[in-house]
Amino acid sequence: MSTVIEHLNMTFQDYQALRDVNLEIRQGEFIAILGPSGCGKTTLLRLLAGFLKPTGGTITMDGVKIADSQEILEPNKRNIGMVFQSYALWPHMTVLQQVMFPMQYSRFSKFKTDAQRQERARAMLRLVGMEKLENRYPSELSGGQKQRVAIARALANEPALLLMDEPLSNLDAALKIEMRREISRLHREVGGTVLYVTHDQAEALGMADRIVVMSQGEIQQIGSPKEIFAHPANAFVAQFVGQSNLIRGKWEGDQFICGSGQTVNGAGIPDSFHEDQLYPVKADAVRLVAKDQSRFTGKVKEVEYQGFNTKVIMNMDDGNVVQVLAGGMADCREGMEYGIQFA
Amino acid sequence: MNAIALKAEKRLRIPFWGLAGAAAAFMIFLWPLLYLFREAFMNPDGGFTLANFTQVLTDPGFGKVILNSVFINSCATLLTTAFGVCFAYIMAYTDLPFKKIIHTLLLLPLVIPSYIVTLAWMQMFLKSSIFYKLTHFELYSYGGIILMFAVCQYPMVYLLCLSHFRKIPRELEQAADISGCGWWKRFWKVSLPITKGTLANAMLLVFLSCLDNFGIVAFIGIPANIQVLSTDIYKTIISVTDSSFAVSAVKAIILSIVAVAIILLSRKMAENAQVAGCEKEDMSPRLFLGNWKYLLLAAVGLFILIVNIIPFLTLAGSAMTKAKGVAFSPATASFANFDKVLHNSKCLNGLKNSVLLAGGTALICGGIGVSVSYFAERRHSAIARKVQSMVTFPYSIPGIILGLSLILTYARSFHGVTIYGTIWILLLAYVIRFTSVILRSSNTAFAQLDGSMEEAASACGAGNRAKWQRVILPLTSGPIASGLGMVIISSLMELTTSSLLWSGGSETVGVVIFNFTSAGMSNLASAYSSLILLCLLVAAGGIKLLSMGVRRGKSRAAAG
Repeated sequence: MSTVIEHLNMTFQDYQALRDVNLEIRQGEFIAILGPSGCGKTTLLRLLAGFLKPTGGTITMDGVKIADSQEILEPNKRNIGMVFQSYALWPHMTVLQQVMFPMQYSRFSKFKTDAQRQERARAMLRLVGMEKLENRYPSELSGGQKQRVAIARALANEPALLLMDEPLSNLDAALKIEMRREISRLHREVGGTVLYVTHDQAEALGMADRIVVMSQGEIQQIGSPKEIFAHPANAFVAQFVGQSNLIRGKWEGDQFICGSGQTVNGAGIPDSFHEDQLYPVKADAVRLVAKDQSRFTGKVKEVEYQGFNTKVIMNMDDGNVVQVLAGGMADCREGMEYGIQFA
Repeated sequence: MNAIALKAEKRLRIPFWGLAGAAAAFMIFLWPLLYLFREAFMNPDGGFTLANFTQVLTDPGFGKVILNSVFINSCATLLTTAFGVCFAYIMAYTDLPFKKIIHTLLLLPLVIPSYIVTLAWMQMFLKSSIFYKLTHFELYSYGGIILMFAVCQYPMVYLLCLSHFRKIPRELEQAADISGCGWWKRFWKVSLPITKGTLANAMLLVFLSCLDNFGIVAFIGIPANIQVLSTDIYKTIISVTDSSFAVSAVKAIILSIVAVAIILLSRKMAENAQVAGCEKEDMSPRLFLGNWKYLLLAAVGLFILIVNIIPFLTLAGSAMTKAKGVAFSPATASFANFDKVLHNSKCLNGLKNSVLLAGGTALICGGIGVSVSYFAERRHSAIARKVQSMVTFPYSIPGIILGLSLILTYARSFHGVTIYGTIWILLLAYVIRFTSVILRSSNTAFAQLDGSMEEAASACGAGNRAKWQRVILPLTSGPIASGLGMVIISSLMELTTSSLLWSGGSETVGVVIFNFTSAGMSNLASAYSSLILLCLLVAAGGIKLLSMGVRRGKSRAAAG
């Protein structure tokens, strides 16, 4: 089962939420859609679910067109599961009833008798560790428990495509990390195709097979977490995912020149950085050196001690602002002058 | 894929049904009122004229009617407000014992039709009664009408102010205490001014409801020869002279202009009403009375006894006496009147009609209200929004005007079908009057229902039927059920439009009581009313139980 999105456009009144989006989701893949709020990621998810009709382009599932600007197939006729940001558990149903619901009503249900459905529902609840609470109502559950029920409900019917809309954003930090592991484990055990929307780069890097980075309605880069982190395609990805410094300077062929003539070998840096005259470099890939050892110099603006590291923010003489991760014991103080070398 | 073909068909159908629905709503809810408007400007030959207006406006009798209405309604509004605010303050602030039961008793007039209350008071102030001998209070007077208005309508002010008082943050009043105010100064300088907006809104609603009222002014005003707008229009209509419809149409327009102006003003007031701060009602008392609270309890108890209990005991007593005007005594008690009522075909027919009408009205109003509200609130359909305002408009128009406009519109056969003179015109009138009640409660219900509830059902593969059955209806049933309950009780109690639109065979409970009373058979009226009250009591109990069950579900929903 693969899902193909071609030239998808979505316009709300005068606001273009999606611009020519192309993506193929392969069978069994875990794809994360990553981007800041307002980048169109939730719109993309709602288009896949069938809650919205695109203004252009097509979505095809298993060779069948399910949406274009003329017609859409209703959500209940698509073989999908969905985990909502707010969990969307029905307050008047018990945990067991919630999980049985899709098997009772979906046209794709493989579970024909109530006994089969119950058995499957209980198996799903066991999988998420909720088997003891099957008779509880949502109001009697904690945030993490609600999340588990929502996931069990979405998976119960073995959907061809599981859509997850920022499912961890309402949880506290510790629970977030626990649930992140849990979702990864479920994906390994159950299989199935997952489309996971998030604005948290750690979630995307930690769980996804492939990441789709979006900004302002457009796909910026598609790739494995390593590719995205190590080789950002453009300035946006470098900053949003890689948290890189973007240093302004001048490209001359493969050489990047900044400060008062410091040169760096920039072979392999994508063209888009050349066009913007920017050089991406991560905070741990620059070193502070004595002022006379570099032609890229500046003054310490802020020092933030972080334990293993010390984050130093430098106001460079040419106007660049650079973050440097120095060793935990680095002896920097505000106002001191240093040079910068690229590792 | 044929699902897509299906969808294509649906896409073509939806605007069509939307427009058809809007057209139907216009014809049902607004057309009769426009028809009435036309009638006012028409001379007998069908041409345009202002003669009807000049006739009405130069008639000194009509001037007196307007003065009466303004005087009575203003005084009634003040007295009603005084009652309402007083009880709201006591219930919100003091540590009065037995608050729950007192609250329920205070709300009794909400479920008892005003004409039955009036009938009961008429029995209580018979010339032979103890009450009359003690007070010499003449009920058939301006004072009597004003008192009856206050007795029937104070719960409206009470409820609005109660919720408002409970939302006033304690700190505001404690600050006044610290600044040196005693409780009276605090009430006068802080609590009441904060309540100003709510109070103004409540007063306008009371005034409007006085304009709309027919039962009280018909039962007391007509015998006392005190005419107000609604009784005057009623008399003009039933006088059946050549110009009676045109003249009453003019009067109706004047009355509805006043009513609409009041509604608009009250909406403005409600918008401007300051939200005192707390979203949640603070139910705990703020004023501790010590032993004085028992004195207060006695006073409140006396009020409830006189206003909400003794009249109905008198009513039952009067039902058990043989001759009109004779005081009840156990020695002469008889059930003969009940026997007569139970064997009177009009009485039984009236009850049957009212029950059928209430059920039918609830069903139709429920269907229209819930679906219009769903498409307007959930689907943000522009057409549904328009339909919504069309459907709510007639609610602000006094019932007597609606009755008149229905007569004018449907007296002639309408494309070969005559519904005038049948029970169907009553059903139509009730639907027009009460759809807005259920629409408002559905709007509340859908506003509380998170959109993801419905989407989750769709994503789980549920079709429309399963989605409504398993998710939408269970989660909106609370407010919708209480709206339906309101519609059922209002339909059972309806008198104003029924008194104009009934015909032999289609009489309702209100009409039967009205006819008995105007024919001077107040003992039969009392017996019948007592039976109806018993039915209402049972029905109200049922609704209370139902809403208790629903509230349990709702608290769950709120927590979820």
